[in-house]
Amino acid sequence: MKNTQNDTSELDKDAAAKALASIQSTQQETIQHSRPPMWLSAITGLGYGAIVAGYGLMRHENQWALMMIIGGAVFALSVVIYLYRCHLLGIKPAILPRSNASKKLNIYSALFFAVIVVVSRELTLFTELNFIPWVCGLMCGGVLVWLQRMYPTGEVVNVERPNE
Amino acid sequence: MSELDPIIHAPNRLQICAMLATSAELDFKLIKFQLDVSDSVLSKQLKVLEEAEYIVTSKRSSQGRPCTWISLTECGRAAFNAHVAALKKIIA
Repeated sequence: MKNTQNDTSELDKDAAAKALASIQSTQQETIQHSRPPMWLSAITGLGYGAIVAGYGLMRHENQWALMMIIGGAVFALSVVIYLYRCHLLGIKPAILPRSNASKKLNIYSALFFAVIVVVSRELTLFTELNFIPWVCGLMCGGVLVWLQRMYPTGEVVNVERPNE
Repeated sequence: MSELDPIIHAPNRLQICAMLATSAELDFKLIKFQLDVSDSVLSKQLKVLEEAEYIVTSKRSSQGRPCTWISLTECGRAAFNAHVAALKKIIA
Protein backbone atom coordinates (compact mmCIF):
# COMPACT_ATOMS: atom_id res chain seq x y z
CA MET A 1 0.00 0.00 0.00
CA LYS A 2 2.84 2.34 0.98
CA ASN A 3 4.68 1.51 -2.27
CA THR A 4 1.60 2.36 -4.33
CA GLN A 5 1.34 5.73 -2.55
CA ASN A 6 5.02 6.44 -3.19
CA ASP A 7 4.61 5.53 -6.87
CA THR A 8 1.62 7.85 -7.19
CA SER A 9 3.49 10.69 -5.52
CA GLU A 10 6.48 10.15 -7.86
CA LEU A 11 4.11 10.21 -10.82
CA ASP A 12 2.61 13.47 -9.55
CA LYS A 13 6.08 14.93 -9.17
CA ASP A 14 7.04 13.89 -12.69
CA ALA A 15 3.85 15.33 -14.16
CA ALA A 16 4.34 18.58 -12.22
CA ALA A 17 7.97 18.87 -13.32
CA LYS A 18 6.94 18.29 -16.95
CA ALA A 19 4.19 20.92 -16.69
CA LEU A 20 6.63 23.46 -15.22
CA ALA A 21 9.19 22.70 -17.94
CA SER A 22 6.48 23.14 -20.57
CA ILE A 23 5.50 26.53 -19.07
CA GLN A 24 9.11 27.69 -19.05
CA SER A 25 9.86 26.59 -22.61
CA THR A 26 6.64 28.20 -23.92
CA GLN A 27 7.45 31.47 -22.17
CA GLN A 28 11.03 31.40 -23.44
CA GLU A 29 9.80 30.87 -26.98
CA THR A 30 7.42 33.84 -26.70
CA ILE A 31 10.16 36.02 -25.21
CA GLN A 32 12.65 35.02 -27.91
CA HIS A 33 10.02 35.70 -30.55
CA SER A 34 9.38 39.21 -29.25
CA ARG A 35 13.02 40.11 -28.52
CA PRO A 36 14.06 42.99 -30.81
CA PRO A 37 17.07 42.56 -33.12
CA MET A 38 20.39 43.60 -31.60
CA TRP A 39 20.78 46.60 -33.92
CA LEU A 40 17.45 48.04 -32.75
CA SER A 41 18.35 47.53 -29.08
CA ALA A 42 21.74 49.19 -29.72
CA ILE A 43 20.10 52.22 -31.38
CA THR A 44 17.61 52.54 -28.49
CA GLY A 45 20.47 52.33 -25.96
CA LEU A 46 22.61 54.84 -27.87
CA GLY A 47 19.68 57.26 -28.16
CA TYR A 48 18.96 57.07 -24.45
CA GLY A 49 22.66 57.32 -23.58
CA ALA A 50 22.91 60.44 -25.75
CA ILE A 51 19.99 62.04 -23.87
CA VAL A 52 21.65 61.40 -20.48
CA ALA A 53 25.14 62.46 -21.62
CA GLY A 54 23.79 65.53 -23.45
CA TYR A 55 21.80 66.63 -20.40
CA GLY A 56 24.83 66.20 -18.13
CA LEU A 57 27.17 68.16 -20.43
CA MET A 58 24.73 70.89 -21.45
CA ARG A 59 25.70 74.37 -20.24
CA HIS A 60 25.21 77.35 -22.44
CA GLU A 61 26.58 75.68 -25.55
CA ASN A 62 24.01 74.48 -28.00
CA GLN A 63 25.98 71.44 -29.21
CA TRP A 64 25.14 69.26 -26.18
CA ALA A 65 21.53 70.39 -26.22
CA LEU A 66 21.46 69.42 -29.87
CA MET A 67 22.94 66.00 -28.98
CA MET A 68 20.19 65.58 -26.37
CA ILE A 69 17.47 66.50 -28.89
CA ILE A 70 18.89 64.20 -31.58
CA GLY A 71 19.25 61.42 -28.98
CA GLY A 72 15.63 61.94 -27.96
CA ALA A 73 14.44 61.77 -31.57
CA VAL A 74 16.48 58.61 -32.23
CA PHE A 75 15.19 57.04 -29.00
CA ALA A 76 11.54 57.88 -29.81
CA LEU A 77 11.90 56.57 -33.37
CA SER A 78 13.48 53.29 -32.20
CA VAL A 79 10.66 52.79 -29.66
CA VAL A 80 8.06 53.38 -32.40
CA ILE A 81 9.84 50.85 -34.67
CA TYR A 82 9.97 48.34 -31.79
CA LEU A 83 6.24 48.73 -31.02
CA TYR A 84 5.32 48.46 -34.71
CA ARG A 85 7.47 45.32 -35.06
CA CYS A 86 5.71 43.81 -32.03
CA HIS A 87 2.34 44.67 -33.56
CA LEU A 88 3.30 42.91 -36.80
CA LEU A 89 4.46 39.86 -34.83
CA GLY A 90 1.13 39.73 -32.98
CA ILE A 91 2.41 40.85 -29.59
CA LYS A 92 1.26 43.81 -27.55
CA PRO A 93 3.91 44.55 -24.91
CA ALA A 94 2.70 45.52 -21.46
CA ILE A 95 3.25 49.28 -21.07
CA LEU A 96 1.82 49.23 -17.56
CA PRO A 97 3.12 46.19 -15.64
CA ARG A 98 0.56 43.72 -14.34
CA SER A 99 2.46 41.28 -12.13
CA ASN A 100 4.07 42.35 -8.86
CA ALA A 101 7.53 41.30 -10.09
CA SER A 102 7.12 43.54 -13.16
CA LYS A 103 5.92 46.46 -11.02
CA LYS A 104 8.99 46.07 -8.79
CA LEU A 105 11.31 45.95 -11.81
CA ASN A 106 9.71 49.08 -13.30
CA ILE A 107 10.01 51.01 -10.03
CA TYR A 108 13.65 49.99 -9.49
CA SER A 109 14.66 50.78 -13.07
CA ALA A 110 12.84 54.16 -12.99
CA LEU A 111 14.64 55.00 -9.73
CA PHE A 112 17.97 53.93 -11.21
CA PHE A 113 17.53 56.06 -14.34
CA ALA A 114 16.33 59.08 -12.31
CA VAL A 115 19.27 58.85 -9.89
CA ILE A 116 21.83 58.45 -12.69
CA VAL A 117 20.45 61.44 -14.63
CA VAL A 118 20.53 63.68 -11.54
CA VAL A 119 23.96 62.42 -10.45
CA SER A 120 25.33 62.92 -13.96
CA ARG A 121 24.17 66.55 -14.09
CA GLU A 122 24.95 67.61 -10.52
CA LEU A 123 28.32 65.87 -10.22
CA THR A 124 29.52 67.41 -13.47
CA LEU A 125 28.42 70.88 -12.35
CA PHE A 126 30.25 70.52 -9.04
CA THR A 127 33.42 68.77 -10.16
CA GLU A 128 33.72 70.01 -13.77
CA LEU A 129 34.76 66.46 -14.74
CA ASN A 130 33.33 66.09 -18.22
CA PHE A 131 33.74 62.32 -18.46
CA ILE A 132 31.04 61.68 -15.81
CA PRO A 133 28.03 62.25 -18.15
CA TRP A 134 29.59 59.93 -20.72
CA VAL A 135 29.98 57.18 -18.10
CA CYS A 136 26.42 57.77 -16.86
CA GLY A 137 25.08 57.77 -20.43
CA LEU A 138 26.88 54.50 -21.12
CA MET A 139 25.47 52.98 -17.92
CA CYS A 140 21.88 54.07 -18.72
CA GLY A 141 22.14 52.90 -22.34
CA GLY A 142 23.62 49.57 -21.24
CA VAL A 143 20.95 48.95 -18.63
CA LEU A 144 18.21 49.84 -21.11
CA VAL A 145 19.60 47.40 -23.68
CA TRP A 146 19.81 44.71 -21.00
CA LEU A 147 16.19 45.35 -19.93
CA GLN A 148 15.02 45.23 -23.53
CA ARG A 149 16.86 41.96 -24.16
CA MET A 150 15.73 40.28 -20.94
CA TYR A 151 12.15 41.60 -20.68
CA PRO A 152 11.10 42.60 -24.21
CA THR A 153 7.38 42.28 -23.50
CA GLY A 154 7.52 44.33 -20.30
CA GLU A 155 6.54 41.42 -18.08
CA VAL A 156 8.96 39.59 -15.81
CA VAL A 157 9.19 35.86 -16.52
CA ASN A 158 11.91 33.38 -15.67
CA VAL A 159 14.00 33.20 -18.82
CA GLU A 160 17.51 32.11 -19.63
CA ARG A 161 20.04 34.66 -20.83
CA PRO A 162 19.89 35.26 -24.59
CA ASN A 163 22.59 33.55 -26.64
CA GLU A 164 23.85 36.50 -28.58
CA MET B 1 -3.23 17.73 -6.40
CA SER B 2 -6.33 19.52 -5.00
CA GLU B 3 -4.82 23.02 -5.50
CA LEU B 4 -4.30 22.50 -9.22
CA ASP B 5 -6.77 24.29 -11.46
CA PRO B 6 -8.42 21.71 -13.77
CA ILE B 7 -9.25 24.42 -16.35
CA ILE B 8 -5.62 25.50 -16.70
CA HIS B 9 -4.04 22.08 -16.20
CA ALA B 10 -4.82 20.77 -19.73
CA PRO B 11 -1.52 20.96 -21.71
CA ASN B 12 -2.72 23.33 -24.45
CA ARG B 13 -4.53 25.64 -22.04
CA LEU B 14 -1.50 25.66 -19.75
CA GLN B 15 0.69 26.77 -22.66
CA ILE B 16 -1.85 29.40 -23.73
CA CYS B 17 -1.88 30.89 -20.22
CA ALA B 18 1.94 30.73 -20.03
CA MET B 19 2.20 32.64 -23.31
CA LEU B 20 -0.39 35.23 -22.30
CA ALA B 21 1.36 35.82 -18.96
CA THR B 22 4.37 37.23 -20.83
CA SER B 23 2.61 40.19 -22.45
CA ALA B 24 -0.46 42.39 -22.47
CA GLU B 25 -2.13 40.85 -25.54
CA LEU B 26 -1.28 38.22 -28.14
CA ASP B 27 -2.63 37.61 -31.62
CA PHE B 28 -4.63 34.41 -32.26
CA LYS B 29 -2.32 33.56 -35.17
CA LEU B 30 0.81 33.79 -33.01
CA ILE B 31 -0.65 31.42 -30.40
CA LYS B 32 -1.74 29.03 -33.14
CA PHE B 33 1.73 29.13 -34.70
CA GLN B 34 3.51 28.50 -31.39
CA LEU B 35 1.20 25.73 -30.23
CA ASP B 36 1.12 24.19 -33.70
CA VAL B 37 -2.62 23.41 -33.53
CA SER B 38 -5.54 23.98 -35.90
CA ASP B 39 -7.89 26.98 -35.69
CA SER B 40 -10.73 24.83 -34.38
CA VAL B 41 -8.65 23.22 -31.62
CA LEU B 42 -7.35 26.59 -30.46
CA SER B 43 -10.82 28.17 -30.59
CA LYS B 44 -12.18 25.35 -28.46
CA GLN B 45 -9.44 25.76 -25.84
CA LEU B 46 -9.89 29.54 -25.82
CA LYS B 47 -13.62 29.18 -25.36
CA VAL B 48 -13.10 27.08 -22.22
CA LEU B 49 -10.76 29.74 -20.81
CA GLU B 50 -13.12 32.53 -21.82
CA GLU B 51 -16.09 30.85 -20.15
CA ALA B 52 -14.05 30.60 -16.96
CA GLU B 53 -13.33 34.37 -17.36
CA TYR B 54 -9.59 33.70 -17.45
CA ILE B 55 -9.12 35.42 -20.80
CA VAL B 56 -10.82 38.09 -22.89
CA THR B 57 -10.80 38.21 -26.67
CA SER B 58 -11.26 41.28 -28.82
CA LYS B 59 -11.67 41.38 -32.57
CA ARG B 60 -10.02 44.33 -34.27
CA SER B 61 -9.11 44.95 -37.87
CA SER B 62 -5.51 45.70 -38.72
CA GLN B 63 -4.69 47.01 -42.21
CA GLY B 64 -8.02 45.79 -43.50
CA ARG B 65 -7.81 42.25 -42.14
CA PRO B 66 -9.55 41.03 -38.98
CA CYS B 67 -7.35 40.04 -36.03
CA THR B 68 -8.32 38.43 -32.75
CA TRP B 69 -6.32 39.66 -29.77
CA ILE B 70 -6.33 37.64 -26.57
CA SER B 71 -5.34 38.77 -23.09
CA LEU B 72 -5.28 37.27 -19.63
CA THR B 73 -7.72 38.78 -17.11
CA GLU B 74 -6.71 39.61 -13.54
CA CYS B 75 -8.62 36.52 -12.44
CA GLY B 76 -6.83 34.42 -15.08
CA ARG B 77 -3.43 35.76 -14.07
CA ALA B 78 -4.13 34.99 -10.40
CA ALA B 79 -5.34 31.48 -11.30
CA PHE B 80 -2.27 30.85 -13.46
CA ASN B 81 0.09 32.07 -10.71
CA ALA B 82 -1.72 29.89 -8.16
CA HIS B 83 -1.45 26.91 -10.52
CA VAL B 84 2.29 27.44 -11.01
CA ALA B 85 2.73 27.78 -7.24
CA ALA B 86 0.83 24.50 -6.74
CA LEU B 87 3.06 22.74 -9.31
CA LYS B 88 6.18 24.03 -7.57
CA LYS B 89 4.80 22.85 -4.23
CA ILE B 90 4.35 19.33 -5.61
CA ILE B 91 7.95 19.02 -6.78
CA ALA B 92 9.40 20.70 -3.66
